[in-house]
Amino acid sequence: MSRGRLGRAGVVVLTLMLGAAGCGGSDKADSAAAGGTLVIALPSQPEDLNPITGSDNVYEGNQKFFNGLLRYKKDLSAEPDLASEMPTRSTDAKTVTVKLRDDVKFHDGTPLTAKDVAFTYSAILDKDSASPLASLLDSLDSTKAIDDTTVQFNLNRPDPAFFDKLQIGIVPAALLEGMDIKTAAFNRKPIGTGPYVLKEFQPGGRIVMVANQSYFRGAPKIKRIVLTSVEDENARVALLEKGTVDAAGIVPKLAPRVRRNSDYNVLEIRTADARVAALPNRDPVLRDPAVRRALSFAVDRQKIIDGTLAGAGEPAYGPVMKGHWAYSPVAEKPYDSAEAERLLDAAGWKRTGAATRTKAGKKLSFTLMYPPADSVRKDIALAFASQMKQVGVDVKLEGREFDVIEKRQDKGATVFGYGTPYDPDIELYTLFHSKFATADKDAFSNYPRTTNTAIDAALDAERSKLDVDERKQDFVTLQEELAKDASWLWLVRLRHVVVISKRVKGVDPQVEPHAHGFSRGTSWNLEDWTLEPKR
Amino acid sequence: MLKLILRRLAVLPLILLAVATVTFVLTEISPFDPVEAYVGAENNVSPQRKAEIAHAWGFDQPLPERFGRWIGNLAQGDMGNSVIAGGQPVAAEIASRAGASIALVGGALALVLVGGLVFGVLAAAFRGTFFDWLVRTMCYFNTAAPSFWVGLLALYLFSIELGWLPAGGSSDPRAIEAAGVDFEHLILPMVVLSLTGYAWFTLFVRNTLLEVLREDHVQFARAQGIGEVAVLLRYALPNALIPFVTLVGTHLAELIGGTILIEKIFGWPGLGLLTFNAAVNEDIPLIVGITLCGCVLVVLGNLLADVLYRVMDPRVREALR
Repeated sequence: MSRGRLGRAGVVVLTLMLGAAGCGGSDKADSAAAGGTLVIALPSQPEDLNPITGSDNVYEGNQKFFNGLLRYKKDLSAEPDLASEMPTRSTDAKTVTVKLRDDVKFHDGTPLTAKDVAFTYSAILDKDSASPLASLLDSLDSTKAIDDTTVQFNLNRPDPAFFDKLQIGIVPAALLEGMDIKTAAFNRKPIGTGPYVLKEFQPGGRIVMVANQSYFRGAPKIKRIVLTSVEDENARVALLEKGTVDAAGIVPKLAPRVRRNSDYNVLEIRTADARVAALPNRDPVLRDPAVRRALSFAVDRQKIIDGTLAGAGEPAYGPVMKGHWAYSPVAEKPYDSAEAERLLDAAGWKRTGAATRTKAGKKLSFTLMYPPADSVRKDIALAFASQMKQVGVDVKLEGREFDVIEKRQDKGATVFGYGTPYDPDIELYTLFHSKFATADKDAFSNYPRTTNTAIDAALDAERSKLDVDERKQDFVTLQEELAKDASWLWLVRLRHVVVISKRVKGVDPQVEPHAHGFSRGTSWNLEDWTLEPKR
Repeated sequence: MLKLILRRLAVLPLILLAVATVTFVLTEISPFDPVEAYVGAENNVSPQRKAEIAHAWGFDQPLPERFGRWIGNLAQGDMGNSVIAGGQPVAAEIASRAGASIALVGGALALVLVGGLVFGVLAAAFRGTFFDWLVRTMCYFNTAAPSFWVGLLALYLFSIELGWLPAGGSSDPRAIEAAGVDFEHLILPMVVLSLTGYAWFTLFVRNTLLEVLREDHVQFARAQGIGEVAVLLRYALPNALIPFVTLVGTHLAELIGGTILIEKIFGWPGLGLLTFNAAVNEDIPLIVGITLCGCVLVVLGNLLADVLYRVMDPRVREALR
């Protein structure tokens, strides 16, 4: 009796499973034919492909559906993309005019006009769009289409970094006008002007894009690109080894394993991406600038790079990367633990044990937090703590999510990741200006709550003028003052380790920003890559 | 029987309302900040813009107001829009992930039932032998070992070190046709998800069988000279299976809950992974939507089990007649 019924239920379930197995078989058969496909593993899937609402669109790799008015060349200088020539500024620098190409079409065949550009920028400023990019455009008042191929940007102040902000992907006005942009279906079905067209979006799985055959610069060489999300760093390497994926960003310590595989090139890409300990000015120990300055001498940066990054990094002493036009070597002080000890003694923290210092009965000790899922930050924090111990500073490590770190802003230092290779104003102003030091809901701009008039003055000066040489002087001053204030203890700049199949030709990475994985830096010229057939 | 079904279905909206209320309150007191999740940590978004983003999404409205509006929309069949999933409708997002999860939970449930039945019967048949001891030891191990640990171990062993099975995802990313569920990709997450339940069911079937085997009607069958195998399968097992069916309904909830960790570990693009992402990103409409769907499934699963129980147990069946 009962057995019969249960038995039948079992058969139904088993049939479902075998049905699934059948599908699996056909997947296998087709993969051999898919020689023209490049599979890239990302640590996570971009959830929103609309340049207006997606939080990672300025720096992440999904700009291949879209074009900006300008784009970065290999050396990170700007060149026209949808613009037909470089933009012009009015004499008061508060009006920027851009001429557009007249031969560009969206993926749906409609021509690009100035109206689309004006719509995109106005939509970002519209509060209802909830665009994370609105802050970036704080200098923009309004955008106007003068005629079909002329756009005018009206600024509320001269903005020397404004050309960097003309790289946001342009969306077609006709498809989004009058809609609630933050919930538009467009966010998962983007229509742009870019070299690749979205073919499939599998939520939580893969994104498939195919070459735009009528791209205005000529169709891309690789016809099909798949972005798949693989969160586990070891799994990414396993998939590379099996040939399931052709390219992936990996953590430096796994690079030696992949180097043994002759099918892949392992690239170490220079980045502006620094790891920095933010030292809160309201912490009872770290409030003393003399202590903060001493810590910088006690860090053996090269040892951290060799020990935790397998050599894939360079020492960092300030917010601007070496080689950038705004860089100053003023803060470059070599590792000197004796100097660190002298400074700590002078600040009143006397040695009272093998690894302790005290002042008025209080121990020299502070907490250092890091996001626990990030193995690179964790390793850096561990190395840092052990180096501090040698000069008698006790560092308590705590792995904490950013939501917790935000709430404990004044109660301990945190390992952050920051750094832009583009115009420094974009990032440094909100990071260091005292304007952003007070509000409670403000942990991630000016986390240490630095209030330093000299730093404020340098920041206000650099953004008030356009001349690069004059601005450089202000940035030199800024870097001097930051070194004196020492609220940020710069540790290392990472090299992003990217593994790409040797079948792929034409990879020529730009210096990368903080964003991880397969970001703009490596894939900036993705449309020019070629893929040799599998041997 | 019909009365039972109707009564249960009538209570369902009340259960859902209670669950929705509790979920809303829980998300309100959780430490996660939806705006921070939306713009990403280490951003350059000014406090003023963050406030505007919160306002645009309605995060800044008081809980009763948000809850009221949500109920109103739900009454019109609108579950709202997810914040993290590109602002897409919650219902569509859930529907697009359901297939992968149904394959995973369905496969695991089949393994639990078949595995539990086969090993439970075998262990009971060979009670006291080494085989019985082995089955029981494995069961205790599976019950005690946390599934996320077993999952990670299995992933590292079978996918990363040995390379026998695919490491994550639901199908080959290179495949030309639309992504679906590939059996090779399903094996590891399905087996790991089924382990705890399979162990539990094996022990359950074994113990119930041993109890039933001591009962008078079984002894009578033996006395009639019926063979031990026939006694076990034809006389003991059917009686042992009746409580088993009720347990399947309850166990469904456990399996569904288990998918959150398993899908996270194996990068399985189903509802469990969606739940995880919704939770850490404080995506309230999505969290509530998934919770309600899970709730409906569990209630229906239990109802089905109760109906089956009544159909199978002759005493209850007689009473209902």
